Amino acid sequence: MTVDPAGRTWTPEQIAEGSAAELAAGRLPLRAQWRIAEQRERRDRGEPGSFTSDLTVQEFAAIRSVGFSPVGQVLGSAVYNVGWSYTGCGIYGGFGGQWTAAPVVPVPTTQKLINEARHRAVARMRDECAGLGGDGVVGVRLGLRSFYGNGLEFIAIGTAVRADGDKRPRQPFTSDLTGQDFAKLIRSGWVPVALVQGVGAVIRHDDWRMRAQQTSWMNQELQGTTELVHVARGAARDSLAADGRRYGGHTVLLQRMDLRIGEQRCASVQEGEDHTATAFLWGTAVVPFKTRASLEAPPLMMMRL
Amino acid sequence: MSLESTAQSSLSQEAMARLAELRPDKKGHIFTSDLSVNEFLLVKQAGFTPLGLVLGTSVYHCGFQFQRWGKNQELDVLSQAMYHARELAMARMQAEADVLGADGIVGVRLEVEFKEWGSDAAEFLAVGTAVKADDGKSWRNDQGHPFTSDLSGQDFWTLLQAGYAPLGMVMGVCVYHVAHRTFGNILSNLGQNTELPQFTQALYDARELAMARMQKEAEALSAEGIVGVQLDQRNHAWGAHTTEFFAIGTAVRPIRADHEIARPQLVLGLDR
Repeated sequence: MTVDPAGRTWTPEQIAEGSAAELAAGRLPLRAQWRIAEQRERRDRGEPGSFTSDLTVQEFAAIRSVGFSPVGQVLGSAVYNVGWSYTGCGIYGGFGGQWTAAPVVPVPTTQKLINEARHRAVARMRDECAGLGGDGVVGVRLGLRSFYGNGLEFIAIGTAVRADGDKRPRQPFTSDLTGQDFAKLIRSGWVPVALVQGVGAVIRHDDWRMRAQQTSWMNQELQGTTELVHVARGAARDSLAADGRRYGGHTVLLQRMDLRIGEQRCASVQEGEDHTATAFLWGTAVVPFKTRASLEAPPLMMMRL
Repeated sequence: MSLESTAQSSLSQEAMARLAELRPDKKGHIFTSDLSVNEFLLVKQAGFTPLGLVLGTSVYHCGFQFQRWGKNQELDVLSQAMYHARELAMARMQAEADVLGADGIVGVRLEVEFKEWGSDAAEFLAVGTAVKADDGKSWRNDQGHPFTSDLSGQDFWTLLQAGYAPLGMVMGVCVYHVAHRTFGNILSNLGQNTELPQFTQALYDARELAMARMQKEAEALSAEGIVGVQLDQRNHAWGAHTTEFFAIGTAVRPIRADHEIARPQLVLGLDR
């Protein structure tokens, strides 16, 4: 039995059911709501133990030095089923189909799904931040884990911070920058806006040329696969720029690039194989808030001992 | 409230005010950079504006070469493959920078990954951030290409402060097959501390070849020297006796004849 902040008792089954209903309604699960509410109350009353954070001491000091304080650790998660099977590779068996160069086919459904999953996880984390009265989240670690078959879990964990003044952004910012990097940016007149992601998902049938090139004795470029990878990254970059624009960002500082290549049996040609490629780009969009943003002091040349 | 803390909270207030007035979904230019915050700020301080992330890819199938069990030899088919594929990736990255009208590319990373699928197929990737000088002068190299450099933003800043300009990344590759020892050779050295001259010669030669090739490239750019050389050796998917020796660095030249290198200050760091 669990007692919620309002004094109502819950059985574990009721909590599980209630949380699922809350998630379906676009809200946070019950336990998250309670944790946030309790912490918020404690902070408003000015009690000790009013914040949690996964900041290091240096990060804490750096954030304080630019007028922000941590309000609590926040988390968002979403598990999605991301499959490829709904889309073919664009090649159909029969005459001619197997003897022309196979095209690279984008898979917008998969791409959209991955984007949506990530946005949902980050949005939940942002909701937690807003619930705590935070202005933004720093030091976000984004996780992407495979989960039973086609399942993908997106996790975002970070520390919510609040500005000392009384100006509030319309929506909490999110960023994967460390506390030190955050402080350096603010001091130089830049502020993070949002975590941005670029995803490109493409599929290509292994045509006869690809098979010939793969088993050749000669050095040569695998043109088909190069194109596959190139198109995947291109799509990821377009989607990253679109994401950055969506938030009104000015510059994106890239944190991580990832490429996953998979092989699967072709759905339309017997004995055939397809290659899939998913490219990921993760970073933080930033904007300048001073007209002439630059380092406040010139860097000092120094020799480390 | 002390003067300093007022300044702090006004800084955080200014930042939050900017976020409050942000108009999302606005059409406009947005650029991506592969730089860290430190690098981003230093590149700006050095008088360059990042234009965007540039990259080039090549998926390459490495050919087959017969190797003698007991012979030290360069596997020139593989050397060529490793060089050609990297060159393709770099050239594509440079072409992207050209389109952006860049003066150069900083923080270039070259990555090679042999894939599990496909025999002997590897992905070669070159990524960097294209930059343009704020002073409007051209920083392109002798060959009219944007300069490339694998130096970090910090190293790039330091290099410019010292009065040097990067010209281009230079590299040398040598894939070498190290001979297996004969049974008699193993027996004769059994239980002794001794040099294995055959192995020494093989590793030595391979590195020399890689370095000499890198030097040739720097000469072609009429560089004064090469900085930040990394000499790597990797076995990739070829087993213990076939190794790639890879030398890469940035060719540099003084900007002016009378440049002066700033005197560094001695600092004891408290951070780790």
